[in-house]
Amino acid sequence: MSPWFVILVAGIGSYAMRICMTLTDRLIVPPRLEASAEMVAPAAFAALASASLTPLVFSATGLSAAAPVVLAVAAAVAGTAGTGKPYVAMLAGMPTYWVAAALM
Amino acid sequence: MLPWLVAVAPFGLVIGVTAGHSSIPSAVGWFTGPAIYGGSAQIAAIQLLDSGAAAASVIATVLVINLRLVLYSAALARYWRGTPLWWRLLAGYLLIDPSFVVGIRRYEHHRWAYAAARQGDQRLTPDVGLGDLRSSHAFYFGGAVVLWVGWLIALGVGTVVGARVPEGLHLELLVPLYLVGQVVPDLRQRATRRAVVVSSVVVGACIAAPLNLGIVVGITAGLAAGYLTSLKDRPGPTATPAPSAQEHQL
Repeated sequence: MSPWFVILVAGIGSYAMRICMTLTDRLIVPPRLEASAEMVAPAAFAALASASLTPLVFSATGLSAAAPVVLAVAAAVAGTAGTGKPYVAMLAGMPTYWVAAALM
Repeated sequence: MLPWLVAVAPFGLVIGVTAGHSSIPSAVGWFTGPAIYGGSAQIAAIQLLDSGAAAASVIATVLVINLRLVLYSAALARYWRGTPLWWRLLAGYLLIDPSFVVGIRRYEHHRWAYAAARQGDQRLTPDVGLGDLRSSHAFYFGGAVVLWVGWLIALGVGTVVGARVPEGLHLELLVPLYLVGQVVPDLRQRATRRAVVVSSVVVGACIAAPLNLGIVVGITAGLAAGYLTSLKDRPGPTATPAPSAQEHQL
């Protein structure tokens, strides 16, 4: 299937979610959906991060290839936890990766 | 809305760079902006298409990530009642985390002012009556349009620049690091923490699953684990959550 079409269908579905409640008064959000909603983004972000990082770490040939990725993630976690600012993850993680990869 | 725009523009650049680096055409990567209009869902779509995932897997993942938009829609519906259909269709298209946060604050301010005026038996002036509701509509719409335009520009710049960035910089790490940064502040709540851990572990375990279905399975498992934990922590359902300023931008 064409990627254009996939994006279009995903976009139409997303648009339907945006407007569904504003077009009718009859729809009610199920309480279970409400309770889980605040966890959707963190769970999805974690899944996507894991899907990107797992192959980089486990398919790496030896410690020298895997270690920079692990160190970059550790720096990202520490930087964000320390400052509370999400963008610090990139500011701390990428340089850590570059330095570690250069040293190993 | 301008502080939000400054905050989300780098994210738009990152997504654009990712699209420029991926195997899908750059134009398709940019098209995720006007079509899906949600950073996290756009990243998911680009990454999944890049890895050759099935169409159903891409669409399902995008819809799961964007499920929160139903809640935003429900929260704004009461204020948009009585507006023309075309306005609701257009305003709904622009609904995303920053526009929701900025818009709902303005609408709630109007509601409080209106209630206070009635309680104090004051005469309703345009400042606290329908006039203010109209200005709230204009406030939401104007801010949302500015955000939308800024977002598409940032995506476009990132897409063009991303295709020219040297491979040696390994910018493919940028997105997972960004995602890590978004998740870490949410780990204070036990239920969310469990959802994140289960989601990550399940995806890691299912990494060889065909069509990248491991991601959808991981998100579902994480949500189930988080929901079960939240049932133990608080017996009743919570109120509709309003995203905090640090919550997932776009």
